[in-house]
Amino acid sequence: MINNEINLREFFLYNILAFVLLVSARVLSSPFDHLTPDIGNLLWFPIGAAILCYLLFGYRVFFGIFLGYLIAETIIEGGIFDISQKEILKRFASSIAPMVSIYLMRLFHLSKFFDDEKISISHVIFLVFFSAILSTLFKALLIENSLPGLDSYITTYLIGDILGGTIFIYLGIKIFSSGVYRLSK
Amino acid sequence: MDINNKYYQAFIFNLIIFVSLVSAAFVMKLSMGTNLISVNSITELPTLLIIILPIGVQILLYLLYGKLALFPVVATCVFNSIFIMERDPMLGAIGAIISGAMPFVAYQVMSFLKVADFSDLKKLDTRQVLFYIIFASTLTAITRFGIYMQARMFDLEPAQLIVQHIVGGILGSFVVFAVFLLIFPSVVNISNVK
Repeated sequence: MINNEINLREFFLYNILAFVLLVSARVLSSPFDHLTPDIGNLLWFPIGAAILCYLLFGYRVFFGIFLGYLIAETIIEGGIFDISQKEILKRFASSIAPMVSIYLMRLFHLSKFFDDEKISISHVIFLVFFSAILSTLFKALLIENSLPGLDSYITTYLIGDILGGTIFIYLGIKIFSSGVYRLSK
Repeated sequence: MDINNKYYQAFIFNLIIFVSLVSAAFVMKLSMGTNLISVNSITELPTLLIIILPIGVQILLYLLYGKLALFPVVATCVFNSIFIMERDPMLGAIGAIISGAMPFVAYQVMSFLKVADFSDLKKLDTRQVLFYIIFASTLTAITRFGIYMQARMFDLEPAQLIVQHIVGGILGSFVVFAVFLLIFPSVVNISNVK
């Protein structure tokens, strides 16, 4: 019973943390939305936030990430009226792609991501690449498959996801590790 | 002829790569029959399920020989594109170079980021090879799609083309690996017994 309560508390705490991280990442990348208005954002930080959350807290933060995507979009668009069903499906694809990537990389014996509680940076970079490919393909093939400029859609989404994801994770690990170092001093 | 001569060995090495890739492309073309469609000089795959054998052979060659196989594989891909698949010499060659090099890029990315170790063939992890097949087919499909879309030279549905290339590449690799691992050793065994 106590165990269940702790698990439930952890579940809510981790989901709230993931939610906050994702909303902040999306707001951080919003200035770049206007640089390429017709196609994808070229610095998409939320994928990095989602990957970091899944690696740190596990698959249970899916709801926090999905909700974070939706709420962030509502904040940026200024209401729910501009959010279509396609938009919701795209956010669902963005939330589920890093999870599927982590699962597949574990299934195919590619990585456990942590060696003696130390995060393996090169494996995480590969995870960013793979998540970017999966996320883009999910969106391009299942949701936006009748779009006329599908080539620029795929190119910009791939570049944005890879760049944004790598930068966000690099900064996240740097800030987190320097914070831990300062606390330990 | 001295079989230890390095030029002779290099010739045999290149010949193996050339023959294996040309025969894979030829078998694929024969199996397709009249289903291959040609739009503005680009011979492209039709909208049906297809098994792309050359990708499987490329993956196998990169696993066996590593970076040594890059140049002969790319050169043979260009040859296949122009003479066997009868594609446009310019765009077909660019597509062939990209599709010949992409499995190598996937191989290098996986090795460089240390997610898989292909250096020792005896210690190969089957699951990692399986992932390499999927990853290489996906990268090849995306880049080929990018080139053909930029050229605006085909009428196929873009999403259908990507799916077809990914699934075709994976199936082609399975067929090539099955032939190499199951049929080839048994043929060699039978010929040794005789």
